[in-house]
Amino acid sequence: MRAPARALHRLRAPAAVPAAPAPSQPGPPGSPAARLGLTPDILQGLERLTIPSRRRVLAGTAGRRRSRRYGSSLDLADYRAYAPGDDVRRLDWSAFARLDRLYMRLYSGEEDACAGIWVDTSASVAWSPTTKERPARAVAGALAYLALAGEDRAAVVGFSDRVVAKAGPLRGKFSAPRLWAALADLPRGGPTSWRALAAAARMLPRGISIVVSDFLAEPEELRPALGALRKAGNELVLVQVLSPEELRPSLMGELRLVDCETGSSVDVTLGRHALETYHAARSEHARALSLLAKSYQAALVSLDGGLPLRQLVLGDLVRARLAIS
Amino acid sequence: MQLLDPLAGLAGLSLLAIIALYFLRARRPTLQVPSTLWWRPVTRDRQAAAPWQRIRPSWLLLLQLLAAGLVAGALLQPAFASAEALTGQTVVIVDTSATMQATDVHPSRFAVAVADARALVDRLGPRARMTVIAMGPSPSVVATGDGSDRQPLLSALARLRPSDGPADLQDALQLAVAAAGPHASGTHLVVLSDGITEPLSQPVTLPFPYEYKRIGISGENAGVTALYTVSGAAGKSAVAHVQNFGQVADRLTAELFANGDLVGARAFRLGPGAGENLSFALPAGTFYVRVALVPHDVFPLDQAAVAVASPAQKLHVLLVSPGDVFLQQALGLRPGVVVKVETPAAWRQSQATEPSVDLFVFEGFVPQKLPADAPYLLVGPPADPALGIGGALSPGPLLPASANDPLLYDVDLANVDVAASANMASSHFGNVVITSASGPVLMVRPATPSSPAAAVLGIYLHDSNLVLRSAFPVLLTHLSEYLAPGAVPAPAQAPSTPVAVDAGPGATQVTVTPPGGRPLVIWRATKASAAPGSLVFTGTSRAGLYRVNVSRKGGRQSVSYFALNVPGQSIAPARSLQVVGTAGKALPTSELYKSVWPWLAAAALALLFVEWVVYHRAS
Repeated sequence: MRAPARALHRLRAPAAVPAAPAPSQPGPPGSPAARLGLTPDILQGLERLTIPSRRRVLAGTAGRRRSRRYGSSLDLADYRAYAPGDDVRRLDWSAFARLDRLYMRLYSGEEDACAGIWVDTSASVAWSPTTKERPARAVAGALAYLALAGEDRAAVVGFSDRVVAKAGPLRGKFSAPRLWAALADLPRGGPTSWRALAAAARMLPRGISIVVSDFLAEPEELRPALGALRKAGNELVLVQVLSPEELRPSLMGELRLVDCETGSSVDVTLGRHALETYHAARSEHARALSLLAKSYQAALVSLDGGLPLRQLVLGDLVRARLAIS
Repeated sequence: MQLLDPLAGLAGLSLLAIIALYFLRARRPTLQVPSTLWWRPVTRDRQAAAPWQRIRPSWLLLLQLLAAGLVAGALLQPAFASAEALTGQTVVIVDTSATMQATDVHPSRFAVAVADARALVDRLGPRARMTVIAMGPSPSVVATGDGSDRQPLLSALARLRPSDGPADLQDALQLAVAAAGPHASGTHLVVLSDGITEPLSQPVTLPFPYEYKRIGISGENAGVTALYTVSGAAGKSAVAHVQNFGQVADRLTAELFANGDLVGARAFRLGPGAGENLSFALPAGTFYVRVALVPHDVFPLDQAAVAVASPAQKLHVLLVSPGDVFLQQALGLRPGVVVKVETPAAWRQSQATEPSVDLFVFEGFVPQKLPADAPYLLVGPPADPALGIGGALSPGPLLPASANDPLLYDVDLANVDVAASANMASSHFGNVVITSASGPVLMVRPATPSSPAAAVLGIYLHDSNLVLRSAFPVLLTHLSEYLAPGAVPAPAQAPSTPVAVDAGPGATQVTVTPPGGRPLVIWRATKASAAPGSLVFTGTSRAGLYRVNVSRKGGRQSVSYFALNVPGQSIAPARSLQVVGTAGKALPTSELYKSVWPWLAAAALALLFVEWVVYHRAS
């Protein structure tokens, strides 16, 4: 006697929003939103969106999502035999009259999710502050705002070869500036260690884990981290942010390219044929990353950091169904 | 010398590749990128696009060529034939039973068995697998490995220790068959043992050939086969039986220790195969005795025995029955038990409150008034609505209700046939211990403040072969110990036998101290746990005297003892194992090669290090 089949449950932000300043103008100079580039018109656009959850989640406190725990909603989920010490109020006295046995009613509860946003702060992301690092943090800030506006909790964790900063979990839209400030103040640099993320996977309550990174690693290296996050009971969302220089390199000639994280180098002679090989490698990596995401039932979206932030947040995220209206 | 992988010679082409790279080397401007991940494939195309250049003499080139040459040489796997190597899968059973501690071979049978096993490990071929099974009271797989990594096998053999218990060949062979898995055709079994094992309960047919390597040369041994204390008019005395299992007469002295102090000695001569009963008067206050034979022979373990002195207190059992010799006999097996028999017609209701009876047993009869203070056992009861017991039925095969019920330790129900049993399907008498398709067959209930412990065995003994099975006295003894524990000490048993320890009412902690060991807390009262009644202690691997300390409420302590002895036995190595299979077949072998590739690889690594140093000095 289980609860009804699971369905797509959505978090919808309340209609009331703060008064919107002029579109495309950042908030007060120096404010956390302004530092991330989240203009009032972007925030206003976010109010119409929600993060879809494809699975029932298991989290801590009352919210809008259906839980796998038993709670106190009116949906009867199951029965079990009475045991001394049980809450007599939930005793099914009619069943006792019919069956001469005591049973307890169990209900399906409604609980909220925690959107854990894991932001890559490594040197490869910091390599391009304007077209990669800032868009990555802004997208993270937007997703955190979506969660808070939907009455869920949100937390931000910065990681490179270790967890470098953590903020939250926090609840309520009024907490958004604290998360934005944490995002803007995240340290930068260092190598990326996916094993570090794997080790920290349980530091946030279960819910939705959103990993914002360039994912410039062999897909197999990501497995421990994604596996650990899934094993911790999370729904996974992977947001890849790449700079235009990575998507469309314009280098030519003989070069020694040095990896900004590992220091390893490759000697290349770049011409039309070499760039075709580069794009083929990038496509192959994207395909492998997509397969990896599917194997962990993770949503994956790749964003061009060179595009305007408004387009990234209100366009690409919606197209990728990471945010739905 | 032989090359195990000649095709790896193609790796020599790497030398050409290195030279080619020197043709192509060029200085390039450096540019930092987020990652070289997607640029790496581009480097493969670089050679085609790069211009050729004249090669110059270079230490780096020389060192790299040497290193590549050594790597290529290592890949060829040059090797020298050195010995005959085992192939396929070998399962080795190492006997760890008590008799393997005999020293008729130097330094002991067990040490020789382990050394033989190590020799087999050393002979393992590169792809040969080996499983090592320790055959003690509870055989177990101690290691599995192959020729490429012998260390787990050698470490496991180094950790093996002989036990004081018997060897369970049946379980060991079943483990060997399981370890072989589906590859039985390529498997060979080696049993390193003296062949002194527990008898097989059923014939074993091995699906692979086996080799029994008999260890031990002598059967000359004299041991103490029994030791017990009796009370008489003149006080307590200890009786020991000593047996010479060898073919040569022996002169021995038996020394008697009471509470650890030497109180007597008796010299005697034992002819071949002869036995001797020795009786010693015990001083007052003796609570345990030890008999030791001197001089020691090659198996000293059975030359000493310990017994707990029987208390003056007796356990009085009243059996109310029309007459059942088997039942009466089984009940009297516990030492210190006095069984009195009465017919149902002679039964008086007033006896139910008689304090002199410690345990009532009613067979085919349920009194109107059940005992209120003393525990009781109902056997084959007639229909009794008050107890929820109905008429007779055929229960079918008997099954344990719980997998690890201490009451069913060593009780084999497989061959018990029951034609008639009381219908207890609707009875709520107590916990079900033995069940069947038609309902419970044996139920027990522990003592409560208002009622004594009780049990009901539904089987009509005359309509069953249970009384004829070895399970019957074991079951009755367990039931007797459960219902009336602690009144008499358990008889000395063999090591590795689970021992029932009585905690009694009001116990807060039960501690057992093994011989020469540290105290082990086996039970401690918590708010949630009730008084334990009878506990089962399984850490009985060593022979000797075990001390049981029970702490009770109010700080009171009670101390009791139980003894475990290695029974005197023949230690003559068995000529063969009672196993059906192909015996004596030589182990499958092939030539074993000693490979030199690790040395070449190490040299290559050293050269690469030198090359790295040279490169950094140059730059």
